[in-house]
This record gives sequence, C-alpha cells and structure tokens, in this order.
Amino acid sequence: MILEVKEKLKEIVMKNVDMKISFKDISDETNLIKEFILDSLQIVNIIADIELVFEVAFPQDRKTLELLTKFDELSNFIQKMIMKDKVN
Amino acid sequence: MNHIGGINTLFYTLSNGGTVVIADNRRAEEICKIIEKHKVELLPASPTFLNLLFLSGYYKDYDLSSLKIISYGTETMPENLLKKLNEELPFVSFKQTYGLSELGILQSKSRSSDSLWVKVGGEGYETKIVNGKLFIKTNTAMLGYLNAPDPFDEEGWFNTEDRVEIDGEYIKILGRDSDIINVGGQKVYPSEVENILCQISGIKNAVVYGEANAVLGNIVTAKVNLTDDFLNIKAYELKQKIKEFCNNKIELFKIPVKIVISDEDLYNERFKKIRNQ
Repeated sequence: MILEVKEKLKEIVMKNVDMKISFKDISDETNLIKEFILDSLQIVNIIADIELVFEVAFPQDRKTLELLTKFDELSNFIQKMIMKDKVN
Repeated sequence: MNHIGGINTLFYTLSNGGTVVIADNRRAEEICKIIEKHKVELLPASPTFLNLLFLSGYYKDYDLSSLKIISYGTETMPENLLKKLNEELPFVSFKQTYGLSELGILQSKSRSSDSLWVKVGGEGYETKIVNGKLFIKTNTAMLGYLNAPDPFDEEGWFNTEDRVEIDGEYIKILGRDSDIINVGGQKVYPSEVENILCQISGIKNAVVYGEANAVLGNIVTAKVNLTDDFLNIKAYELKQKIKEFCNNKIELFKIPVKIVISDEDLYNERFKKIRNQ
C-alpha cells in the first residue's frame, strides 16, 4: 500500500512543480521544498491535492511543512492517516 | 420585498403609473411564465438569478419579447454572463443599478447594454473615489445604525467598501472589500475568479471565498455546482481541469487551491451568492 501512496504522491508533486521531473527524481530522502524550489503557493497546492486524492485532512500547522522536507516521512504520514480513517 | 432594490422598484413603478407583477416564487420558469402572461417590460434581477435563467434555457420556451429592460445589481455581474445574455436576448437593454440600504438607490447609467462600466450619482448624491474605494454623500442617507458605530465620517461621507476602477465619469465595480481574499498579501476578487470558472462548460455555478491557511494566510476555495458534462468527476480531476483552463487567463495565486463539489444552492433566497462559508 505504501508503494501505491508513493506513486500517487509523486504524481501530485510532478504536477505542481515548475521544472520537468520524472518519478526517479524523487527518492525517499528528497527534500521537496529544497530540491524543487517550491514556493508557498506550490506547497499549499500540493497539500490540498494530497487531501483531495487521499481524502485526508492535514493539520493546519508548521508540522505539515516539515513533512515536505522528506518524501518518505510525508508518504508514511499519509498512510497513517488513511489507516486511521479506516479504523474510525 | 426585503431588499432596498425591491422597494425602489416598487415605489418607482407605482409612482410612474406602472403595474407591478409579484411572482408566487422566484424560479426561472415561473418568472418567464409571468413575463409572457403579463407582457412585463422591466425585470429587476441579481446576476445569480440571470445566470440560472440562462442555464435553465426557459427563456427560449416563453415569449419574452415584451421585455425592454433587465436591471441588475446587488452583486458583481460576471462579464462573460453579461455577454451571453446580450447575445441571447438582443432585444433587451441591460442596465446596472447601484444602491445601498444605508443611502438609497443612486441614478445610474450603463455605458452600453454589454458594458460593466456605469455612471452613478445624480441629483442629491455626491461621489468620490479614495484609494480605489467608492464614497457617497447624500442628504437622504439613514441616520445611523442602532447600537453600532456611526459609519459616516465628519463630512458625512459613507464608505461603501466597494472597490472600483475609474474611466472618466464611469466606474467599474470590482467587488466589496469584505469579499476580497488576501492570498499572501495579494488580492483576489472572488467575482473575477467566478467569472472564469463559469466559462468552463461543466460548471453550472461557482462561488469563490477565502479559507484560512497556515502558509499563505488565506487560500482561494471554489464551491461549484456541476452540469451532467462533469457527472461523477472527482474533485482532484476537476481541479486539474480548472487549473488547465485558468492558466494564462488569471494569475496563479487566483486559481482555486481547494475545490468543493456541491449540489446545494450557492445563493440565498434573494439570489445573492453566499461567500461567507
């Protein structure tokens, strides 16, 4: 399941960055903000797209921003939220 | 008849020897039926109602040839809708009205039937534009609000909070200050974005408003009613279509970040868009 999350997440990132990138440009260690020089608008669009695609809600705080500094952590966080929603 | 615009129409028509036809309900079909039956010449309406009239297509099923004027006001008219209405009802003259419950209805003159530029003022009314905002002074203004601060300045000017553009004697109303969305310090007029969204064939109606956001202060959110063209579309897919359509038409920060698909009406009982979600 985590692989599926990562694939979808990569698609979202690719649609929101200015530069042309492929799946292999994003690894578990990628700092999305730094690597793809994300501006504020791109960041909120990525978060909003994640919420739409995975049907989850991000907390409105700085922690959400920190998640974008490591692709792997962001993927795990999304997966946890999906699992939590399923349990509830 | 719970709006200054309705009261103005009632008094104006009766004092000029006209007949007022009051509808049982405000559905587009009912209004068209009444126009045909009573040979109505003037239809005062909000842009939201006119959009519903246009989308419903009922205006094609009834004889509306008696109509001479459609006056519109209470909210910003989308340029694209005005253009379509002029094409579909070429025998009608579209006139923009302007007024506030606090001040009354000002005389107004649209530059042309398909223009959003309007001259407002006339006898008894003074107007001025300060920092892009319209101020009005008149002896017929209300005394003040009950149990609330006096909204008039020392010289009696009332700040309408309406942002306007100026071209000689004409103004174009961009939107009310309270509706403006501040996205990271950049201003977004909801009506501008709504106007673009309603040009997308699968979108029947749209209302745009700001939503608090930790990164940008506010983000642009659009709530939309869809037509069958977008039946079963997912919100993410719709957002991609919106992004694609808006690209190069408006600045990136104006493109809605959040999309809410809704079956609910996006307007109140007076056919005015509900932006305070």
